[in-house]
Amino acid sequence: MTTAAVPRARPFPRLGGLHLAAILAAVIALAPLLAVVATALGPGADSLTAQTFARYALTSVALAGSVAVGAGVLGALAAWLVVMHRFPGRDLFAWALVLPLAAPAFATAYGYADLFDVAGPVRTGLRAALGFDAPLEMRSLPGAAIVLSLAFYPYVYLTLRAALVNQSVGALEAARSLGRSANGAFWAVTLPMARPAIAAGMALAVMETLADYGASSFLGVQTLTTGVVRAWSVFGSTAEAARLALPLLGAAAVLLLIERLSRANRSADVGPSRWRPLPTQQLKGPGATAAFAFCLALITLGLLLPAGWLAYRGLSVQPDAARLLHGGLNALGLAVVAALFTTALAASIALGARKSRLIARLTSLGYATPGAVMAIGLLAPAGFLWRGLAGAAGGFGVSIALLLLAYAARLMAAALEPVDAGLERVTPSMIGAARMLGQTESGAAWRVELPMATGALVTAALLVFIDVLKELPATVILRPFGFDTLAVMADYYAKDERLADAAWPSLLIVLVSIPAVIWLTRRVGASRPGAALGASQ
Amino acid sequence: MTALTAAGLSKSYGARVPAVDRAGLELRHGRITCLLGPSGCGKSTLLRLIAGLERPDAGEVRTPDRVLSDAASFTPPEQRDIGLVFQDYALFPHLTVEQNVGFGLNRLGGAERRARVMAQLERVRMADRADAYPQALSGGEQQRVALARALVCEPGVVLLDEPFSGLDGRLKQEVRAAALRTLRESGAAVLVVTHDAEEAMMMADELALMKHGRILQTGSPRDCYLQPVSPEAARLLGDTVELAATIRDGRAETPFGALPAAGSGPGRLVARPEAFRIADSGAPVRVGSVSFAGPFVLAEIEAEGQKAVARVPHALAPSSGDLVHIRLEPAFCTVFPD
Repeated sequence: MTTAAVPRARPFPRLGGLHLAAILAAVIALAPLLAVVATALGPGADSLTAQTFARYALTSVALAGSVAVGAGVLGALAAWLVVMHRFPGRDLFAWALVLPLAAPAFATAYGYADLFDVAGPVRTGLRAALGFDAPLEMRSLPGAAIVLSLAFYPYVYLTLRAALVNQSVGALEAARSLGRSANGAFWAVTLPMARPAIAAGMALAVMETLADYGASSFLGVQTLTTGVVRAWSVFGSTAEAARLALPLLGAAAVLLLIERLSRANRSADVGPSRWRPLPTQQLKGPGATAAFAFCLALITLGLLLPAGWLAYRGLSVQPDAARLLHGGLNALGLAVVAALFTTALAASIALGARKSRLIARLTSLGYATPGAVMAIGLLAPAGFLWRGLAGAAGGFGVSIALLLLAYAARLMAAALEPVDAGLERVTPSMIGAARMLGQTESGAAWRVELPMATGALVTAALLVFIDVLKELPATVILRPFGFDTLAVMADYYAKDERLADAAWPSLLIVLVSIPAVIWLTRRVGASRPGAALGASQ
Repeated sequence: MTALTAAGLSKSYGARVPAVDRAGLELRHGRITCLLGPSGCGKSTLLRLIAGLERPDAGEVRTPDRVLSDAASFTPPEQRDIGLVFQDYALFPHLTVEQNVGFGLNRLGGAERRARVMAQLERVRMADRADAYPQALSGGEQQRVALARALVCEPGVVLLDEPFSGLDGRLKQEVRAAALRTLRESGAAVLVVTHDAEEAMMMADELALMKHGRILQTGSPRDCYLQPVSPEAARLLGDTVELAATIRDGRAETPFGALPAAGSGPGRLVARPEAFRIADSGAPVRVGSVSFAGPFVLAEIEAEGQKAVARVPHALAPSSGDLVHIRLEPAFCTVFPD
């Protein structure tokens, strides 16, 4: 069969608009990372001693390790209680446990630092009762670990909850029929199957910890990330900042690998038993009380207490309404534009690079990269642009553009995930049908693929919106001069020890984020297999 | 009149055996061609090559006026004037029935488009469900909408990929009869891909048999059934009995009887089970097991160490162990020299 018709060499693969857009999006995601590496290896004043470097790195490792354990235990326990048990308030807790994600970590840190300040209510009270000062300083490494664990446990909670909800009832029932008790089945089947999900959730929590600037710097913990911002803002050295960022890039790659590998092992159970409700255990008496108390405590400590204390402090001052309004509009505008821009890029990757998982993988490297590192990576090309576009107006535009690029590079992967999932509903034959009915490839994308993924696109945009609203380090580094967002204002007030003033912008962020977080959680809940398929199944 | 010609089409995925291997077809206006083959034989790939959803490695697809694809050029699917009904119907879940059917008419104005769509929906008796979403329709209704969507653009060629395989039993027959009527009314050249031999023979004006990526035989269903070009082609259209034969003096001799044949030497006689008639005289055979098969009886028969299965009317059904005489019906037999 090789003799008759020798196939001609294929002409160049056609590069449609979609492919070009996907490639552009991938370049946007990767360029800052490459720039960081280039800058770090390049020349530049170096005041960084090996000793300082090691201290930053060790602090980062210690903080990340403690948060991994803290958030891992809290989140895993909460998910196990909520999915596998019935107790009073469970349905409410199921989504309310996610709410701490609405608060930026720095807001939680402000609340705790002030509550446990030497002159704060807790220690003053304890001093009066005990006669000595209890060692409850939040402005310390253990304090930061506690604060960030409370802020980031929802990542573990969400991934494990999804894994438990989607677990195979068949496997559980098989374990029971083979003589395991309900508890035995949990240890023998559920937990081993859920381990990858816990690992993925912990990897996310560690990524966020390494990315954190606002909380760590306020609590006086000098991590690599705070070092990056310091190197740039205090010493004005991009090269030094980039050198500090290098290990963070490495860590990002490793964490990403852990997260992806963990998820690759997701069970591919498609048996009919999958759609049956999970067997849950009814908790009674002390068990029910303990479960209720634990969940309530988690939400209280993660959100209600710090936010409530901030609100209380905030009410003691007259807010600068004009500045707040200004900062609020800046933040909203920026977040909306970034959400649209990033979602559009994610959509073009999803549509244009459907078959190339490589591009998707490369962009997810951006997600694991701290915002401060992204910003440093964009500063090098920024210098170019600034020189090219002299004048304040040009400078403002360039700054905003760089900020949008930084957000996009960092959040594209987060937006890509729901968009990809949404596009899975579009079968190849639907695209084929659109083509046969006269649509070009991009016509099919516009008229069939994107409309079918509307919900997913909204989800993606909301994810980006919330994250941009809370984002601090990249915004601090790249924003145009005098352009304040709510997060920047909060950081500025907090550094001035004007905590009551910092409370207002922080709480505004929380108030705007809460409805979005609730909406997102509801959608995740509804995406339980079979739930959305309705009558056709 | 020829509507579309495919010639020498090849397509392989990776290094394995090609999915489609130098396959050719000719589709004519107003005629229904059925492409029949077992699953995995490449028939769906051939259809996708004709539709333009895949690029052929070699070969040509053309209409009388223009080349759709050859070594030098490739017309994208949206410019081919070909309608395609997918096996899973591929209705757009975010659009209503009316919007689905009107999808390909987006260049027409609202009123004209609506009129065309409703007329087509009328034809497939789905006009009353115009505002429904596909998820709310039954399988048969979805099939009718998919057909309407492909036909409303009045394509010169309509391709259907296993269009009835998702339906069962009674519903399948009804939907098939209605679809056949609509397709004939459209005057288009129709290609139906199926793995169901009975369906293919009932529907087709023209049959194309495919296996291992190659077209084995084309012709009317009757010719293909009664005059297979190879044992392989014969097997595709129904049960066969294959017997070793000796060809000499213009006759092929088997233990079950002899038939006229050309050539000489060893050969093979391929017969349909209905070729074996129980008669008063003829080759003596021993009856093995007898099994009930609805409208007829299947009897295993044996002579000189060769076995066959005969399809016998109930009135003539033998019992296991009987000695009966068999005559071969030449119309249902074909001799192939080795």
